[in-house]
Amino acid sequence: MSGDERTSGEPLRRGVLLAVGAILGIGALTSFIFVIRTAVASGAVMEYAIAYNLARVGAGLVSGAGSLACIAHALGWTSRLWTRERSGSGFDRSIWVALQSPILVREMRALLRGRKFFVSHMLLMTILAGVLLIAATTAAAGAQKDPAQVGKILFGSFFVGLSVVVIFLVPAFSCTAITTEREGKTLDLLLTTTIRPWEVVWGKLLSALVVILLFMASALPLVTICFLFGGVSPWDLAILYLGVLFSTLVVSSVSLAVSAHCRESKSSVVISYVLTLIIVVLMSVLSVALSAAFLSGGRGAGAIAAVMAGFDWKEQLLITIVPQFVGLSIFAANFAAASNRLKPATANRSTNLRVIWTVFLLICLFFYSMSVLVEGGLGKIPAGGWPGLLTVAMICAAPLLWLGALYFPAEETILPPRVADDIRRLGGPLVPLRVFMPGPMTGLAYTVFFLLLGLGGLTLFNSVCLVGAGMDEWVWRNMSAVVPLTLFLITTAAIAALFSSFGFTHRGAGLAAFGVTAVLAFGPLILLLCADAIAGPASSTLWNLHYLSPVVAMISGWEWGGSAFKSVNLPGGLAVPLWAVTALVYSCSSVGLWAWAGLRVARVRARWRRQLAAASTSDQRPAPNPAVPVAAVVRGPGGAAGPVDQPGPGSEGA
Amino acid sequence: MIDIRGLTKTYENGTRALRDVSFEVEEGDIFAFIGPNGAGKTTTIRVLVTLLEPTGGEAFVGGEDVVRYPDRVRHLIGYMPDDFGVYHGVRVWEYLDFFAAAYRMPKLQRRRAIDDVMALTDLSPLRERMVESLSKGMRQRLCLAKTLVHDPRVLILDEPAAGLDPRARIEFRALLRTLSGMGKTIMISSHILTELREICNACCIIERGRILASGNVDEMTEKLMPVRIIMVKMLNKAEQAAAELLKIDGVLSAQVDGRNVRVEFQGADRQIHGLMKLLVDRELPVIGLEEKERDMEALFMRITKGELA
Repeated sequence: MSGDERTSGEPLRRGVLLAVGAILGIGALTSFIFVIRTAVASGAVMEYAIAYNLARVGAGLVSGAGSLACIAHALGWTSRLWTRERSGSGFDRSIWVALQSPILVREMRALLRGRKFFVSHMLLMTILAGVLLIAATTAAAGAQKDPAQVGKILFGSFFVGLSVVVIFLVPAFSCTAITTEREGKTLDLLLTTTIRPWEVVWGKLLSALVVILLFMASALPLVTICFLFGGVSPWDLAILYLGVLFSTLVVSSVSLAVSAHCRESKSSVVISYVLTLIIVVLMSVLSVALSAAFLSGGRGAGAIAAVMAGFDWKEQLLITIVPQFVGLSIFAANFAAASNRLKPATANRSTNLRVIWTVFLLICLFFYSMSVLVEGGLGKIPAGGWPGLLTVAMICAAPLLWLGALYFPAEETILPPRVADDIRRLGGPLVPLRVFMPGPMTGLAYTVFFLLLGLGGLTLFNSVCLVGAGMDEWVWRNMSAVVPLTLFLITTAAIAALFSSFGFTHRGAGLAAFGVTAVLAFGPLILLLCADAIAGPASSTLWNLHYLSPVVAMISGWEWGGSAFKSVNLPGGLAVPLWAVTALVYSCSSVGLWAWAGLRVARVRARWRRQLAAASTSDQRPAPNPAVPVAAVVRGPGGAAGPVDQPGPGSEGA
Repeated sequence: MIDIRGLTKTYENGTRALRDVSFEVEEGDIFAFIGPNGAGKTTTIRVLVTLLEPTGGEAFVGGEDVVRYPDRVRHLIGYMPDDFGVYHGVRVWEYLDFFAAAYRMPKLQRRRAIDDVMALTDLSPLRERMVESLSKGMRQRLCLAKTLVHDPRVLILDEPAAGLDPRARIEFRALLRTLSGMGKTIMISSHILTELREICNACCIIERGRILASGNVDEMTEKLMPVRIIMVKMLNKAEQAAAELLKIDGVLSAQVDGRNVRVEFQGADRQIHGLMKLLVDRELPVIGLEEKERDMEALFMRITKGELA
């Protein structure tokens, strides 16, 4: 209803949408025509410029999709996607909220009056001053005579000091943000105002950012000491501050998500700090490498620019964008998770996460393609270089894919009526969008979609690049690594859906499936030890069995040396490649589990519907309450009393 | 103004908190929502204020579906939970300003609204006080002020008077009357009944997730407790008066108690006049006639536990 209202009365907006759709469509067509013309002119698609052509095809696909989306929206086809009312016009309302978050104002008032801010501020200043003092005395005691080098050393220590202290102060300001509201019983007051869950999270996030900004501003006088010595430019400082702010965003989003999920502040503090530590350790692998290069720098005028000087601009772009992007995706997922948690329990809590994951994957694929472009085409690729990249990409993607396979299919077995309505609305040409809606079976479908998109995209791209490397190697890698991994993940998703259909909660089903699939993944490795211990034909059987582990499959995909596939000798004298056995086992189990899960879910839903029907009829029977006849007398003639078709309890008894 | 139809709510653990709850609140009513602890009052209210989604049934506030258009409903209602907290480290006016801003009121309008609600709830002298230093009664007022700050048409108050001293309670009742006079629809849940009888004009009794009775309080009392107790005070001749009264249609019994006659009577007010007229006509020295209040507590006991003892 609201969708119709929205699309009917706005001719200007529809016109703009149609125009944008047309422009994007023309762009897409041009890019396709260009690719076809290149292919026809050169006589072959598989050649040097293939990477560029693929990128063009990608751009064409994206703009084509955008064009279709704009036109569909302008014509009102997407109204089914938005079933609930949103007050105000979305865009200017969002800007308004982002700029003056009432939560930010209140948090700042309370914070600046409290002791926490003052104490942590003093602590930060003391630590930074101490770090600079120690760095200065060490530099003075050493044989370092060049003032520019001293300036760099001081700046470097300031950099490390500020990042470490800030990253460990951030959780203190955001990990109790939502638990205190819950414990202080103010959350309900807040959620019944017209503020939205994401605005609550955004306000809390902003206040953490503002605190860190205040800290950094007050640290400025300290860092000016470095400028006395030279060797550091204000540009370096700006980049450092931006980097710290960005890390603040990521770390505080994690703490906020934890705080939204915890009931008590105590557990939220512990979990937030543990997660922060893990993130810092992972990220420091990158930053240690950077700062090592940075401290030994001196190749350029600016210290940070020195690190970059060794690369050309395209590589610099990738080096700077990729880590930021990883952080950004962590931030987006946590932000969505935190605001999902504040929605009513029966609201749709996973569509935004699914969309974020898909966008993340698409951008990953884009960067993967970009890295090919940066290398300058197939001519420069060392033999076996791309397969290595594929394997690395797969190893990075596999845990993420596993997590997704555990999380999404394990969602609510019984869909809340509102979400079920929303899903039903996505009919006709919009049916494929159902993979983004919650539910165990759509979760399974989403996992498969995600796998095909991710691993399929990687494999496709890789196989194009591998044309020069030979067919054998391509087949080897795909068959021994990608296929078992994909099938294993589909099986995982089916197991999670199955647990969910047995009445496990969302988290319980995910955890149980994690346990089972962890045993499946790492269990066969134990067989390896047994195979060493015993001799004879049994040993080789055990050896073959351990190939069932997807971990082994992935490792074996890496080490291609022109060898043939390992094969299993069947009783009839038949030799079957090992990967085929693995693939067969996983396909059979995933199909079986999927079917079982589907049946279970259907049965559970049917039972649920029956229960609901039974509940509504049983409530119309007289209740065993002696006062009921009296109540029924009152109920009827009240004028205002309830509808006639739903008699109150015990009206028959009157 | 509030319309609930066949509402059911089953929690994840299988508890059926509401079973086919239906009632209606007219615009301008002060509506008492009465039930023992754990009857489903708070669950119903949480559905109405869009914090909880029902398993089945529908609920409308001001004609808007609470599940489908929660935003519109939130503009219409002011909600005061039974157990609420306050933000620490802010002043009274800042606290109200925060909630007004959360309802997206522009700055100027906010200032005016805060002054108005503070005047209404007598908080003006405490304007600059820190919220955490307020007493329980003051916090209750503050929460009510917060509830009123966006000028809602419907007030939904969950056990608002719990834990207040008698004086604060009386003041609170007066405040509710003022609000009702301003044309607001008020829904109050409570298990303390006596305080509601005087101010509410409609009520609904809920027990174990079912509505036992609902409607206008006077009509309900009329139907559920048809017997009225009338104390007739005589100068003398009480025995004779009792004998005369027993002859009247509708009088069930007349007991002499010193100079008083306790009459159990079934009928409308007009018939009470007839009763008095009779005594005067017979020249019996009647000096007073008083009807005993049929209070809600008795009504509640009668409905929830069968016959009144």
